[in-house]
Amino acid sequence: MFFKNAIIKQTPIPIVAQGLDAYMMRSKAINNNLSNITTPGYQRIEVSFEEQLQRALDEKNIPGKRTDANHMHLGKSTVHRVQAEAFRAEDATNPGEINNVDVDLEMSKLAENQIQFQFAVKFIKEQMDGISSAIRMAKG
Amino acid sequence: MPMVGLFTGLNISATGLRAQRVRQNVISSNLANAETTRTKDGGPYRKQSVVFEADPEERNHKFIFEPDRLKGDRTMQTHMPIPDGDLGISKEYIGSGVKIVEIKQDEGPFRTVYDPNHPDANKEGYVEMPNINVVEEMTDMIVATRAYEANATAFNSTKAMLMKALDL
Repeated sequence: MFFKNAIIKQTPIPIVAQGLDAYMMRSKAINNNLSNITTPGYQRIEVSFEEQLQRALDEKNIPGKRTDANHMHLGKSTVHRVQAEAFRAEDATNPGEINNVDVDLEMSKLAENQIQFQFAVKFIKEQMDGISSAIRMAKG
Repeated sequence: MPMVGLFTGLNISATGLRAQRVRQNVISSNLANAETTRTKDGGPYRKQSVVFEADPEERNHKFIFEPDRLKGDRTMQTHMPIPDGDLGISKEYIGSGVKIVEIKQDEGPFRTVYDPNHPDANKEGYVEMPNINVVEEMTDMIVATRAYEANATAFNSTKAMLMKALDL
């Protein structure tokens, strides 16, 4: 616990780890969309994460102030509490009775998602390497 | 079937692969029996088709990890969020793939062919043939193959992500 609070929380690792969760979840959503590609009336599922991260970073939003740890959170979320969310996409052009899964779109999301995941893994790995090399230095 | 854990993504793709394979089998059966005039139930073979349904099993991680805390329910993406607890567990309301509801028989009318020498011909010389359109079956087969390929690609991508996570 000390290690986690003193070292890991000083780095961007926790936020990137949330990203990993979100990418994994998005890959599930894409898999679900592709497996229902021939199901009549199926509506595709999407995962929002970047938008929420953006909103948490936005200076214009007001965070709710809490005076007690048991109080409910309100307003702007902090970066550390951003969570990925799955929702059903709404298409203005689709009346809702027709399957709205687009193979090309899903495939491009799949490729993009995989690259983002690999980037996040690489990023965390390099951060960890930095920490361990710092520890080795301190030992002398 | 509740889908918990690391390999959910792979399982979802697997349901898609399985569904398309069953569909391919049914199409093969239809093509093989395109000229079959006798069946166990009497009369010619009837076209069969697979009925798919999205598996709606949606699950919330919070049940497992945390006692319920008050949470703001947003009806639109643009609403102001009321975030819940400090624990960074993602909410997951993703279904768990596709399932096969039934294999249905097409009750449409049979094709009639004039062939007086056929053993199953009626008095006027007409034979009732299965209600199968071979061209339709062929196009269905192409759709099934492409859908299978899409699912296989998704499976490989998820697998690559999991392998990459092992590198951490």
